[in-house]
Amino acid sequence: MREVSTVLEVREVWKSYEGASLLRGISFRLAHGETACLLGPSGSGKSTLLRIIAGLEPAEAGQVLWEGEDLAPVAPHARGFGLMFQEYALFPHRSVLENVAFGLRMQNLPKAETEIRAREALARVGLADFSQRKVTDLSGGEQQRVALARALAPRPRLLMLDEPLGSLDRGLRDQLLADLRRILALDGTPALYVTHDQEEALAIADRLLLIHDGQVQRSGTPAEVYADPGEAWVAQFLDMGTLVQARVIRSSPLRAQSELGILAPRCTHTHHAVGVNLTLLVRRAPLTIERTARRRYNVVCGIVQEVSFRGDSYRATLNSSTYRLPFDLTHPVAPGTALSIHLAPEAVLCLT
Amino acid sequence: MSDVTVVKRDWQGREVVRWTGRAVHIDADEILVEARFARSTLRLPYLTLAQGDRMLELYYTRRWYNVFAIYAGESSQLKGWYCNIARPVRMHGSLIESDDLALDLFISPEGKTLLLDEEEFAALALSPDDRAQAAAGLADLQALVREHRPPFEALAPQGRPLDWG
Repeated sequence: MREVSTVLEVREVWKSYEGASLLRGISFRLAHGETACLLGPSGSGKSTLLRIIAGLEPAEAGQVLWEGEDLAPVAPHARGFGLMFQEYALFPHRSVLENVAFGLRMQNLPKAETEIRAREALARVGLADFSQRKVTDLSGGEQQRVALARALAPRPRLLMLDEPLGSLDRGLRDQLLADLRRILALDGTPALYVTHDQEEALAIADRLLLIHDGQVQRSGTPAEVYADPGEAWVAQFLDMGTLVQARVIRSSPLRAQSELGILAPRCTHTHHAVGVNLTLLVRRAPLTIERTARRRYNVVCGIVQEVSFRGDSYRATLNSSTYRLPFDLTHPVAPGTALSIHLAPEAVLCLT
Repeated sequence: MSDVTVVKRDWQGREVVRWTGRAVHIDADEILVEARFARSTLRLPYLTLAQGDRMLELYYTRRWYNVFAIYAGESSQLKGWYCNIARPVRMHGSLIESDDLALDLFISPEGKTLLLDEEEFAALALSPDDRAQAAAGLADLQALVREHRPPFEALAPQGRPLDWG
């Protein structure tokens, strides 16, 4: 289905920066109406990729296609893509409506149509009553909404957002994220959203594209990626838990010996022979305290350290062997307490 | 992410100066670049430019001028608009190339206009077509100012309905 409605395709794009490969044959597709989030650490090349898609930077190899057409000969201003950034550069001496109408003025629309469209865009970002206000009288979050309305008003065929909420505080950011998601879903404009912030990505994305080492390491809906990060790097970057090294002691059902004890990982691979080394993910999932040692696997013993109150739960760390496992408790436990905890079957995942 | 370089050339295409800014909006007709005045203070009879002054630069792909809205530092205080009569810009990758045709128009925040470098413009060996386009561009610009049309809406007195052009 995605195949049929693909609008943007990035195909095997390469780019180096100061002699080092930044993008190494990166490929992905974006479907109509989809919001994809390019998520990766600073320096992973995601902003460079956005520049290549915008036409501000040439790729050294590979192609960027729009509905199958190679964009290489198309100048940035002829691509019909909208931009939105952290620094939104509104015209301070103009009203909200004038700022939003900015991108519409050149489209040779009748002036009534221009004003209608600008007002529509303002309504979409929840600022219908703000049209005659001066932008300098607005809060940071409101100004950011004006910038979004300005980007949406000309109806770009692709909206590119580069860390647009980076400068806002957490509460405001959460609110704007929810609004952005709703607006993009209603609007249907395909969007590429670049961020280094996992929570922001999860909140906004229909699909995550995790970028590392110049390639897409993992692509999928946030739920799919969380269910199966696929790569150790992905699990680590998304702070999904603790990576544990283990050795297979039984193939079926899979059992592996680790410093935490015997673990029974969930595994989607076909087969692991006895003696093979595995990387397992022990998720920071809800855990139960084991009162009696009934099981022989997925039971971790250790000493509780660093208990902190988190409002709805207590976050604690269990020191076991060389590992420090974070876990959540409904009741506080004194630091120094020796505990056995039981890992739920879904809490242990085989990555390799 | 959207860093661009503006290259100002003379009427014969020779590079005069280049500076960097950020493209804030890019569409088929218009490119908006935010840049900072990077040189030391420049005192002109009608305008003083200080290091760090914010420039919102409008470039057009089909019009024979560009318009810089100049703000004092970080503030929202408009110092005026500086308009260059120039050939329509070309954008190649992150380069925005503008061939300047010497003639300039300064517009104060109150809407007073000042035509600059007419003699220099007259002395250029421009083709008749270039000269006619430049003159038409200036006339268009002056009409926009007179009629308070974008990007000069802020000239409209308070309470007066704006013309959306």
